[in-house]
Amino acid sequence: MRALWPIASNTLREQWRSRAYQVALLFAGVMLYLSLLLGMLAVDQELRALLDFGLGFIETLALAAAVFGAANQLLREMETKVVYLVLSRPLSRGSYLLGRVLGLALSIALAVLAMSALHLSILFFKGWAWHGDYALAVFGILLKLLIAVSLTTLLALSTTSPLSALTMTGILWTLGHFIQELNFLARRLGESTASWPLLALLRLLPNLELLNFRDRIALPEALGTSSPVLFGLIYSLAYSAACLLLAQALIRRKDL
Amino acid sequence: MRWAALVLALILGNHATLQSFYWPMPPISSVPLSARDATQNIFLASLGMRRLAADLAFIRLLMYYGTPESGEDGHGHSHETPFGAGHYPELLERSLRILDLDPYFSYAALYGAGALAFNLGRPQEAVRVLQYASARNPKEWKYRAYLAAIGFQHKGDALSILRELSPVVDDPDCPTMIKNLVAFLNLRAGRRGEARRIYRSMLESRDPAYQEVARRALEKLGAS
Repeated sequence: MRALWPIASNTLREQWRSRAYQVALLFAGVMLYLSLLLGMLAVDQELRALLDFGLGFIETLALAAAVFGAANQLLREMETKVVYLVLSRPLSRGSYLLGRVLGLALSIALAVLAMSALHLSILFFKGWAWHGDYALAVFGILLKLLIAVSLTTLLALSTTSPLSALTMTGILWTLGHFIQELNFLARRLGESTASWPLLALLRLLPNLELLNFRDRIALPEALGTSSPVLFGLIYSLAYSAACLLLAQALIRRKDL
Repeated sequence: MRWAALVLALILGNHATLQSFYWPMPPISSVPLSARDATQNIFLASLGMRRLAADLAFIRLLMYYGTPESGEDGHGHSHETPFGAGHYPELLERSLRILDLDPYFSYAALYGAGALAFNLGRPQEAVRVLQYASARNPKEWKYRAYLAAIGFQHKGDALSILRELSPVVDDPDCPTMIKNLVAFLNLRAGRRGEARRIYRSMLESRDPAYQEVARRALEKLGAS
């Protein structure tokens, strides 16, 4: 565990210096400003629009930074042979991988918190009153990003191409938000053999709607966020752990 | 072997999640998509942004209803309809589509129904919006108040409309259009104090047109 921290903090520093990360943060500022303009169009629902646009932008930009970092970092280190230097020390490949993912997850969490602080300051300036749902929405975004980072790491190691890892993560991210629809489709197909691949896919895809607390803001209490939060946390940790264990098994088999 | 065990654990865990999963929004497959915004709505839904899609649809509705209709009066003279009046044939459909995207967006339902019933004189369409919204979110009491008020409007019973809509006015989700109506009905019923209170609350609206209406009304009431 002690070996993880130097790797994680190094990843955090690298990520902070990365052009893609800085551009994503800068772009987030611009988009949050744009959300101010869009919010004005919603007249009496300005605060709702500001809230939704802002949280949407935060998630999308953090996702871009997260998957880009996860798809590139490990593979770049392998290509440039930097990984040999790191692994020549008394450090297992598993710890190296975990340290990398931990650092990346921390940098993304910091970016999300920074963007949320900016978003909150805009909301407060516009007269929004604090509501706990906001913290839950941000928490849900962080859980989804943790899954995205773990999944992209696994895909990057299995495909050895950042581009295909990025594309596949994009597809899985999209499908992860259509679980309800896929479930509906599987039920429509019934017992036929045509439904088997879909059923298998459904059981492998990350259920991102489960963590989509952002879209549950201000729902009536019975449907609200309180009960699925703990479940969502456990789910996100378990899914990420499964992806990372698989990625660990892959990196152990790599000819490094 | 360890791999297989991991994948199996993932499948079983996901299976259990799937069994207990409940998502309070109707599936996007059940949402009738118009050619105008199908791509945008599907794109936003694929990113898990149904509320945002509903917000955009609502902004479009406001822009649609906020753009004065112009037409010809049969004598070759073009004319512009007064504020809030007109035909706006797409208002019903647009309101329903917002509710498909976010069934809990009560403000959009109240705004659409209010405009249809009290500004455009199409109470049947307003009732349809409210029933559609109520079927998706039956706990929303304001829909029932609106339905009752529309019923009384049909009978020309202004005092009963006032009785039904008065509790709605103090709700943060009450459209300013309805506040304006209730304030006006209060004024007609001789309740100047209550009218003044509602007009004052309208000054906090983010809609400059209604702020102006309230300012003028308060000036007339001698209480700006």
